[in-house]
Amino acid sequence: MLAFVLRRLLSLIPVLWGIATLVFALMYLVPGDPARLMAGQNVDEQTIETIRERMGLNEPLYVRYGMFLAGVATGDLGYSYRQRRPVSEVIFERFPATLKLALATILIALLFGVTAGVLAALYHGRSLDWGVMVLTLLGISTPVFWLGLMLIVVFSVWLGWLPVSGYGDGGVRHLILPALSLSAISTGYFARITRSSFLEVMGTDYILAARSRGLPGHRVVLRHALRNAAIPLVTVIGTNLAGLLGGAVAIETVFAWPGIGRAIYDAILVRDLPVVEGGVIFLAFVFVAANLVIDLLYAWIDPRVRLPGYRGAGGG
Amino acid sequence: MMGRLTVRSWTFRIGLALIITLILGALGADLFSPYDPYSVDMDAVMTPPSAAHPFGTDSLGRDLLSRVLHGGRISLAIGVLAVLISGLVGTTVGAVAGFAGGWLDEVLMRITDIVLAFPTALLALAVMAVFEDPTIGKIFIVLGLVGWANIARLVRAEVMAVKERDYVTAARSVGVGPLGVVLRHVLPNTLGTLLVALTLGVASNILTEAWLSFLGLGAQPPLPSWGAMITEGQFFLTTRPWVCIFPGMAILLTVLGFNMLGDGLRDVLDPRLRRGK
Repeated sequence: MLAFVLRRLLSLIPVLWGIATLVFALMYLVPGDPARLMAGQNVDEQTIETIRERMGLNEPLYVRYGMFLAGVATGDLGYSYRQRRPVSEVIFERFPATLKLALATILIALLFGVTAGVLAALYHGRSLDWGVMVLTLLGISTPVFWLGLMLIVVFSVWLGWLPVSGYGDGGVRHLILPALSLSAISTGYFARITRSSFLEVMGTDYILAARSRGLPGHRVVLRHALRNAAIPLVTVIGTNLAGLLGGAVAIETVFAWPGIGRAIYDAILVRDLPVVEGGVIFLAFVFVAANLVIDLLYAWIDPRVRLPGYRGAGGG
Repeated sequence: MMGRLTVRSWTFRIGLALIITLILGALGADLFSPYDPYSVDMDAVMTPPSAAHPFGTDSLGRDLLSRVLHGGRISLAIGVLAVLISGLVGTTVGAVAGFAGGWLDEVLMRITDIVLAFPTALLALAVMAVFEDPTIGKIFIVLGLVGWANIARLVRAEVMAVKERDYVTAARSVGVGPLGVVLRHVLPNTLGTLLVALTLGVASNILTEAWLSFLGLGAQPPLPSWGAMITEGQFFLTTRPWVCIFPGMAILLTVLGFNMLGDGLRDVLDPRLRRGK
């Protein structure tokens, strides 16, 4: 197991390096002079030159690249032009809200998705199954930011049950609508996975045997099939996280949720690129790290995964 | 045989019907649109849906039905063009890696793994944010260039599978080059899986475009992009929700159509999966 963990950790290095390099290349392509952006208007050439010197902009490209990589490795993601403080500080401040939203979303998606998938499998071929399949298709096809706006219209404007937007005092009431809209796509995928792994288990000999022994059908299926569905579900949580983090940028914008996504959006509006790119690097790292944890969990559950030649489970 | 199977998948049929309707609507947008999608009418600002304006009008009095119909062109064009780019890049990378083997294969597959490990929508956002003038022309290239990795994997696996077969060895011995082998033996064999991947790719590209345009990193006003229309509409959401409702429905139906088509194709092409459906 230790060898597997080490190998898996080492395989992260090229991925993280790739992400960082790509973002560096993008930042380098940006038209305009970062020092001038940083300085703002009405500043004389001398000041700009000082800033340029201090930001290391006069160094050759490979030195700047090296400085950038060293920065990323030590958690330094640059300096916000507008907020005039380190990007890492902005991200650190905003991360709890995003984490809260993401966890609530996954929880809702698991609750609804697994329930719907189990029901569809138990009523396989009947109208309930059909209804669930239609709903999952709708779920995975929904633009989440639009769903968020529609939920606001229904639950906040017409019914007046929930707040339109904002973080409030951090309570559940403000969390419900953003998490519900963001969960649409994951719920769809979770329901599909649960349904198909249930159908698989329901057709196997040991379930048929258990049933023929007179054990009540649904209880047998639930116990065995839920365990069988757990592994693919965990994998899908990992792969879905990419869409979820992307969706969070839009959902946090719609609901004025003070997370990293909203920070990225605000930074887009004022072209504060270090915050945009730093935020994206951070979210990408979160995605990669979450998938690492999932792979390790997977290897812990299923020892075959630890073999060197094994490729599978979810993403890198 | 395929014809008979096709008819049996209801997702395939409904998906296909949706897509055909949308393509006709987009192609015939000039014909079906009751108004010019750009013409401003200050006497009809924010009118609710009515006989004269079935979807209502926006903050500049422009007819929303006409704008939604024209918006279909943008979404469909970006979705399909981006997928073609991804398909071309993915097939090339996969074929080169599969045939070359050795260190080149190793390097290309490492790069593919890195791209696969990156959340692609965020990657597209990171790239689009850099441009001072994000436009739809840039979006489809960016989406095309971030979405090729799974196709490269797919094509490489097929190349590895057929490379050593007798008929391919025979073909190569009479002078058929790697390109010939790819065109004649690899692509026909992967066509099914490739088609499924490309169809689902169109769906995800359309969603990503709408999302980027919503964030202001895609189609710019006054272009009638569905995502940008929702951005404009969200400011009047509480009092005039129709400005948001219809463009969103259009996105939902289009993405649904491609997802159903892709799902249906997979069912039809892979009989092993059909048992559970």
